[in-house]
Amino acid sequence: MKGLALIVLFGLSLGCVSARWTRTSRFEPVSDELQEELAVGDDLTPWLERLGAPLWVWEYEGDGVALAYGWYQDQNWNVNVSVPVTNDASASFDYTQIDARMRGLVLFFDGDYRLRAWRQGLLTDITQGLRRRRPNWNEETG
Amino acid sequence: MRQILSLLLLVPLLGSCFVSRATVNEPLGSARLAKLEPGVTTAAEAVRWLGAPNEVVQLGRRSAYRFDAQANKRSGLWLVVVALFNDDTREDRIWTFFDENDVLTHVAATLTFDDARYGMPWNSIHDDEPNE
Repeated sequence: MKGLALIVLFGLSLGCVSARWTRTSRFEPVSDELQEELAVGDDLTPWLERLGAPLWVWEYEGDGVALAYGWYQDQNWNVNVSVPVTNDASASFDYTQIDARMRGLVLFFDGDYRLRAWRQGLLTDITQGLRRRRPNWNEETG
Repeated sequence: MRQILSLLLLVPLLGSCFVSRATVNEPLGSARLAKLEPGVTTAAEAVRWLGAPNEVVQLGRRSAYRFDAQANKRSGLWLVVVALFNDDTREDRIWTFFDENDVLTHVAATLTFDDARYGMPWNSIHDDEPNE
């Protein structure tokens, strides 16, 4: 009995069973107060000054532009039954894909750089129509 | 011999910790940002000052370039069966918008590369920072 207890204790100490509390923070959220100040017809320049650089920029309805701001603050508890050899999360942020957990704000400006609309929520949901293949611009046809 | 064996068995019970830092690209900094002047700066000048863009987006006849540098700080603590991790990423990021003649029209900048911090999961390490 004593031997079994020692084996269990030894197994636990090696990390076969472990509880993991992880907090991950990516970028700063746009405050609700700031979002409440958005108004249709606003010019692009002051919003770029207030919100800073977006994470993504996409073409929107021809000459327009869509700006996406994103962030996530995530905390979770996991119980692992394995030996934790490495912490395998990627250190760098990947611009080629949007993390499903990332919340965000997308602003839509027309060709005159006037605010037409905005949406907030999970970025993967609200940017689906924007993340398409970019069209090729032809010098002759415009 | 028995004492040595007992001591060796105790080693895995000791706690451990780590900190790590990773960066991607050189920080962009406010000095280079200050050189960008809407209506004057060209795309060629922006690239000369900021380096090769990480992304170029076509916006009809216009375009936008993204320049960025990332800093990531991680810290962790193992206490026998409990592991605590914190992972924080911040960036210097500049978007420049050019008209059809490749002249700068707008600039957007977020310079937070130096704000990445170490911490523990219970720390609200960025609560003192403004949202805008």
